[in-house]
Amino acid sequence: MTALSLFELNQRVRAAIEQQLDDTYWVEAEIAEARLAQNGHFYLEFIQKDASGRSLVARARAVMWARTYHLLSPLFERSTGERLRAGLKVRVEAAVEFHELYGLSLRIVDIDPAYTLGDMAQRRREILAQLEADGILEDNRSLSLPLLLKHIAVVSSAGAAGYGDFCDQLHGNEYGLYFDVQLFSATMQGQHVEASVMAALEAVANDPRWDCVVIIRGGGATSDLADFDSYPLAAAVAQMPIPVIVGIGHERDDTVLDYIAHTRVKTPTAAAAFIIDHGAQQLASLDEWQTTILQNARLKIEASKQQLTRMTTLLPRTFALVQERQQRRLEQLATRLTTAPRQQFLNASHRLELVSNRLAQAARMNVQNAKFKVQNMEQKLAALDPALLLQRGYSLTFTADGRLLRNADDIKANDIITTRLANGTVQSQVTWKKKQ
Amino acid sequence: MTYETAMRRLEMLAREMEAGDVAIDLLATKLKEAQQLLAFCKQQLTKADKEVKKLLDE
Repeated sequence: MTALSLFELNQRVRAAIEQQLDDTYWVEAEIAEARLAQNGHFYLEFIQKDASGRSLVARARAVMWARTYHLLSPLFERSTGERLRAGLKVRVEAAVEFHELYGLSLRIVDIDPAYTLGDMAQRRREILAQLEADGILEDNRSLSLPLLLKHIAVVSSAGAAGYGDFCDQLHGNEYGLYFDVQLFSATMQGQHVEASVMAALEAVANDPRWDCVVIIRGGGATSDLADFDSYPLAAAVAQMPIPVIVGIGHERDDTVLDYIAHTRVKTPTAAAAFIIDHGAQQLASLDEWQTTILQNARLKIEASKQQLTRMTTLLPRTFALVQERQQRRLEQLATRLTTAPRQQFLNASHRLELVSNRLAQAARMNVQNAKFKVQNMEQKLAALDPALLLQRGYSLTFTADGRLLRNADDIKANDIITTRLANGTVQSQVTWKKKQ
Repeated sequence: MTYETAMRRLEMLAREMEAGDVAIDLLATKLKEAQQLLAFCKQQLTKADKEVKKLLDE
């Protein structure tokens, strides 16, 4: 049995491949690794995952020779805003090659940026749909911008030119507006973007001093935008309690953050300009208010002056009226005070005189009445005087012991009786008596 | 005694005499009392009148 050397076997494999796969093929795959070698060649590793995205179903090495790379790479970057890097899905035209020493490799001859663009757009759409489903898509955009954007938190990389541009523009504003700016340093490129920017945003959110947060990226060469197309990062931006201004977009492309941030601008300088414009608008508004307030104040003062003038003329007149009325009232009171005691005195005198007269009259009447009564009594008494009866012929008979004789039973025959007449006394002896 | 008390007593005396309720032997006594009250009232009245006039003249 003759054995082949490994080289011989590989030679046969190479021949079989060259014979069977002698064309170029368009292949869709995900870049697992990408590395630019010092010699200018670009080495990649393509993978394909299963439907769940957890297991690999295929893997292949690929290479873009230096000449091809220098031709295709700028084209790809211009079209997609992305450089060829791990994580991107690409559609490449490749020839299948086999080298006895290095094994199977795909030699890339062309690349279709539209495929990558579509894939990135699809990814963004999925993130936005998820944000909407979670009900947080509009959260940051629906915040109202504070009247004054003074305390500004900036999430950017410390040394980046963009941050410097932003600060220069902001502090050199023509309105003399003062801004309190603090940098929350974050990685703005590469695989650490998501975690780094989210940590910076959390630090900003923990300090209530900030009026807004500006996420800007250094200028310069086009760099990865897709790192910002991350659901956790997008959710963090959407739920920031203060307005987020992003200036990380590319001239031709957007990131998810551009759709969910309160305000999106193209560049760090534009972010600064936006903040300055907002301040300038508020200043203008303040100026308008100032003018309105001054005008109103002037009108009010003028009206008060006129009122005062009216009062100045009106007051003495009013006072004179009041004074006159009070004077009249005083005079009336004085008259009443003068008249009233006099009247009362007269009334009292009159009453006293009446009482006096009544008393005198009553006293006289009493005496007169008493006199009449006495006279009457005298007349009655006079009528009863026995002497008058004796003169009319009546007489009084007394018994021997001097008792007035009223009853025939009180005497008997032979008794001596004395009879008194008007002008004398007769003594007689009873001879008989007869009773009636 | 006030003027009003004196006046009330005077009115009562007048009413008693007018009604003939006063015994004759008390008549002179009551009349004397009434005259004293009258004099008092007149005096009070004159005094008050003078004071009022004086005050008003001021």
